[in-house]
Amino acid sequence: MIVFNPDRCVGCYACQVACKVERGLPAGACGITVLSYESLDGGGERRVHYRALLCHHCADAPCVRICPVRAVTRDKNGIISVASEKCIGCRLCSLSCPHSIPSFNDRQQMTKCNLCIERIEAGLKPACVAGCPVAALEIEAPREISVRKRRGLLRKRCCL
Amino acid sequence: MEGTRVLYFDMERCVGCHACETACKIENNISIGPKWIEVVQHDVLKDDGTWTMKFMPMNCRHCAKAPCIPACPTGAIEQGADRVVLVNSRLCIGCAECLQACPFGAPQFGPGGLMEKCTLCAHRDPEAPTACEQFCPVGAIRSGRPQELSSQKRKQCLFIAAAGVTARSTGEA
Amino acid sequence: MRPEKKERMLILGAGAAGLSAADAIRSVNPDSPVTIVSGEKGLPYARMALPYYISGKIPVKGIFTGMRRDFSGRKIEYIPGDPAVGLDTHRQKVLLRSGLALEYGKLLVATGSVPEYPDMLAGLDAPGICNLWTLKDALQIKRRIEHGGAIAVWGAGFVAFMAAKALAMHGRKVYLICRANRILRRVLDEGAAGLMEHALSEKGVVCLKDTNVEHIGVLKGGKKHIVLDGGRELAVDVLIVALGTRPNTGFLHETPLAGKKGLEVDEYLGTRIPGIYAAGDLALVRDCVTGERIAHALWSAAVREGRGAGLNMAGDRHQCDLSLLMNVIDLGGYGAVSVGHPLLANNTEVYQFADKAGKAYRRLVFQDRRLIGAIIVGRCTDTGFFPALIRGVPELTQARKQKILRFPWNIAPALLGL
Repeated sequence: MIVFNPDRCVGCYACQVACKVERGLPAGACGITVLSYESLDGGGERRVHYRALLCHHCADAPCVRICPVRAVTRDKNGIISVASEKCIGCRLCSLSCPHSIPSFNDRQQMTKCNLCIERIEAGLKPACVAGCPVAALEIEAPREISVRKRRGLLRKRCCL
Repeated sequence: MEGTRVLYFDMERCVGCHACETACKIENNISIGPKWIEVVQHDVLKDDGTWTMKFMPMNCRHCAKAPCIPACPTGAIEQGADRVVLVNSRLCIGCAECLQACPFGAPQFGPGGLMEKCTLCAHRDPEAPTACEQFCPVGAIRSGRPQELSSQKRKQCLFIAAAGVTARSTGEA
Repeated sequence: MRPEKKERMLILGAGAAGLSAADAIRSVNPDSPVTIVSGEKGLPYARMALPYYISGKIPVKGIFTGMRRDFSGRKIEYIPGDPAVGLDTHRQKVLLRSGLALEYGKLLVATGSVPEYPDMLAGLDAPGICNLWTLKDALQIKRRIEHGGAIAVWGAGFVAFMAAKALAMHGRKVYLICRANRILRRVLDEGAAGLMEHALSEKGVVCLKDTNVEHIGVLKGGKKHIVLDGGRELAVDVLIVALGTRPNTGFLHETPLAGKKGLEVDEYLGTRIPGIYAAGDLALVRDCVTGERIAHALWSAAVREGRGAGLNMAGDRHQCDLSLLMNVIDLGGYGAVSVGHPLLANNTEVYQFADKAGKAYRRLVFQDRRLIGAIIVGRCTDTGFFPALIRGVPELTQARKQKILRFPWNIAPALLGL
């Protein structure tokens, strides 16, 4: 899965551009969306935060479950993708996804992140990860994330 | 919260034998892959130029203000009155948002891809030790209420000081 | 290979609820014998996709939801074209029309609903007057309009709208006969309905509002002659009747389960007879906003309930009531979404937003510090956040509410940021 690090993101939207270029997506459709929101920090200063919305490729994905024509499927690698020629554009997937990830192209067919499967097979990182100039995006398996966090915590403890 | 149980890990005692991992897996019938408790290792360079290994078991901390709960988009993670954080696998969709939110890397994902994690051996008697505590050969894992653990640790500090041994940092409580 | 009788999981209905239930049973129980009985011939298909087949967006093979190998590969017995005609709850047997009696251990009633057909049309068995409910209907409509022609759609609900849209996309002249003063009056308010009507008319659909059908006759040459109550007359090739549906519970009339509005179920989707469950269009499930027991004839609800009932049939205790109304009305990229109860009027705070171009519209309805309903027209990028928010995940804090009202066109930052 693609992990987003909000502390690193500077809001340049390079990931969105990279995604669109890689997949040739039209206006309105993108596999990753960066949202910005403001908050006040302790000293009353305004701070801008960023958050990337991207497909988690859920194990028991609501979009797969709800698709009435079985156009959204999960392959053996756990990647959830859509067969656009089967898609009727009923938008139930986008309503059932808790992060509203599925977006629609100009032919009213659902498009979504396919984890750049062709790039991964060629030994490359997904376009958004490769295109991020500040390494705010990383592709990592859940097990790796867990081990990284657990090790990091012990390291911090040992440096005290 | 006084009445809630937590696990305390003594880094000075842990020898990295992974018995807790095995005990947890057997007790909770966990498949290959996920580790509800995991002993991690870190090599530290000492002042005299030699290396030493530090170990620490890591499980779910059952935080009072658990960040995984608001992160879960389906409301599948719940905290009971006893503060134990549990996941409802029927609501979980396996998106791993909880793992991204958790600072301890506690959420694990089984072969089905759904989240599973330490339940503090919820199926056991609330007063009985957890499986990891029971099978730790060196007593590095202790469960108890925070108040009890705190006084145990204070007593230990006094004991060490009284014995004339240089009190070393035993990690934070 | 007839399965062990007493433990058989019998599912009546091969729609969204029935198939989801079969999937759920198989996900926890790979061996128990599962039988699906369908009242219609052929493979199961998605009713929802029929308008898209008519409009030509997908081929007919695209509407099927299960293939023979899906069933045989997972050891699910599929009996098509043999509707249930009776239920003996004492002997735990379901009687099918062919005379076959199936014993069951657990039974799921997911026979869905059937369309209303007005008495006025009873004697008039003319080809070209039909519902848009089954594949047979869709094939008939598609064949009749292949070379042009005009179509009247009687009704202005979801099915009527989808039918009108599909036919207009196909380049046909469509009249929508709407009894109320606006289309989709159960799910849209005046503002949203106005926008959708305008978008429909741009596609060539004529919306005749506040009007009803007074008489229907058949002209020479097979054209249908429709007299409306205003005196207006229409001559069309196809009349699609879409006046709503009722639960398909006819075969239960001799059992204590029978109810006019549907089958009452508890929070585990069990009926009052142990071992019998209900899901989908006919299950009276508690609504998550009003708490009222109501049958939601929705694909999304059927999938959710089917899964829940399947899990419970396989021995789980999964609470699966609190259904949520949600409708998506898509018109070639310009869509409207209605979630929850946006038209409820007691003790509600209503906020309405419209953009300058007059293309996008939002109505948010709050009650007791909860969001209870929303209508979203145009700009539909954040719709997925609404169902969860109405269900209370995440909780609607005062800060979140303020933020949503300040930036109503995308509620995602308000929910993720605070």
